[in-house]
Amino acid sequence: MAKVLYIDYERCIGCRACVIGCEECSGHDHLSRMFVDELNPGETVAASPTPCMHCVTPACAESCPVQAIAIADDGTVLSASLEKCIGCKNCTYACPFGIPRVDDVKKVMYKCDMCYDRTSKGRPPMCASVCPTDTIRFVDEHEIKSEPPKEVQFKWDFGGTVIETRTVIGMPDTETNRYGFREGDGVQS
Amino acid sequence: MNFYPYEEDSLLFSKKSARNVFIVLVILFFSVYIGSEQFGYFDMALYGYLWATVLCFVLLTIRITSWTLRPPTRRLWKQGIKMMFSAKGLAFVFKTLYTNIGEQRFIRNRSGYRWAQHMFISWGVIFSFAITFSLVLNWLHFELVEPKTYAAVVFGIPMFRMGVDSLLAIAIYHGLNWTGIAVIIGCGMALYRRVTDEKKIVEQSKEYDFFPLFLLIAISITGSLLTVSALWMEGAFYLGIALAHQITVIVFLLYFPFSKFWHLPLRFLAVMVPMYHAMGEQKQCARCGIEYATATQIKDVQLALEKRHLSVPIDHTTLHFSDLCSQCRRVSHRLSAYGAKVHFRKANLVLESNEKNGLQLKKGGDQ
Ligand code: SF4
Ligand code: SF4
Repeated sequence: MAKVLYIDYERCIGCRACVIGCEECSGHDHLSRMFVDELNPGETVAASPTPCMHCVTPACAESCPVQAIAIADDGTVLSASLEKCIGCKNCTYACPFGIPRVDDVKKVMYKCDMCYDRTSKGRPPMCASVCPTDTIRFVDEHEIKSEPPKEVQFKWDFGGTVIETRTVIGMPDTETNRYGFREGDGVQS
Repeated sequence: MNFYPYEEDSLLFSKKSARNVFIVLVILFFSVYIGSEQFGYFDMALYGYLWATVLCFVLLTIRITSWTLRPPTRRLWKQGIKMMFSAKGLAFVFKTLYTNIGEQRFIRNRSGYRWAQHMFISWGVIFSFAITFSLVLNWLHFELVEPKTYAAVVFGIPMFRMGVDSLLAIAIYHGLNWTGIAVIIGCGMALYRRVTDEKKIVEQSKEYDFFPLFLLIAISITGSLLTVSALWMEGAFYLGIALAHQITVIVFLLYFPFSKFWHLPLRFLAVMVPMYHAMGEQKQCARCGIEYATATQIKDVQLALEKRHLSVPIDHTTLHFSDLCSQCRRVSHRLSAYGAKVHFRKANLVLESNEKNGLQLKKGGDQ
């Protein structure tokens, strides 16, 4: 059964355990590929983790001039191949989710590859293993997409371009506003 | 990956490949013609290599054609060539040629061991290529001009003379042995690293990695054995070794355009990149205002994505997601999913979710 990342970012407490966990993954050269962004710095402590969304048609790979970004058989979009990547940063700019980074000194792109060395052997990725609040979970792809515990998103429509992602995001509960913002709030100045 | 063809015209690839292959063949033919002085100095012993080399050039041309038809590759080539025509651009290119290909500094920054290993292999292979191609295509040959003096003739033009058993002559005759030794050292280091360093790098598979190394070692060893046989074994087994060497080289030449060695041509595009990044006007993120890219590159990426039917616009605005820095892209998605308004301070726009997980201009707001 294919498993994917499920992110319920309402649960995130911004502890950055996932960032540290990611650094510890064996193939990652102590560079974290996970992001924890503060959503409204100075106003709230709301934070959210973002791994690669593992798009079905990845803009990063399509924009790469040297075809350095490979897609594994199970759909995991891998970091650029060390031999091919020329550090041009096209992928960084093309990705609608803001994921790939480029190391300017080593001239190589790096991004979340779902700890492929672990997940390809059935083990959960480091971020999911260390998250203390279960914000990041490694779950069955079919199950989370067909019977989600709450509203989820894995299809994105940008002006008619539909991008489907394998990573699934749990939407915040804005109906009752128990965790989210009220209508009208949350505009950053 | 996405199933759209690179170009609207489905025959474009075939047409361009046919044209490019034709050009390459004509150039090759004339270079052989001139080099061998109207086929006067044709080295028949290298006949098999000649055909494999020609085939290798043809395959490589087809592969390069298909590669450069990809929209992002095409853009980068075009920009690079355009920028190269300025003095500043040219200076960049030479500087990067040196740091990137000559010294390969970026690999040294990855690790010293890796760098040493790569320098041995890459320079060994590049020089071997240079020597092999110039001999096989008859661009270069040696003529006995005096009983004890050779002249090196390049494209029919005598370049220099040397004594038959001068140091220079020995260095040159054994050129392929020296490069072969470098390759063997490099490959040995690479093998050692692969065997001892159990850390699995996900971007490369074992098969992909070991076969090219074994192939290079096989070529270098059989090549050096030819010299050993000729110098110290009175030519014993020479024919068998020559055949084995020829087979390994031919396999290499045909495998080259479709293998790990393909990254060799790719590296030449890397020479354009620092110039591409330094010479454009900086662009500010539409939300936070930091300078995060050059305007040219963002345009190029947007064009390439559009050609692949992968544009990611922000609805009812002229902006795309690539007009934001990476962090603002991530944060905007999250804020809009919370139902919050997202203020693009720099562009002076207020956005909200388009209800389909993308962003749009806030209803009632104006651009
Ligand atoms: S989220 Fe970005 S980096 Fe990940 S696959 Fe999609 S385009 Fe590539
Ligand atoms: S930075 Fe590397 S992986 Fe990214 S587009 Fe450029 S060459 Fe490809």
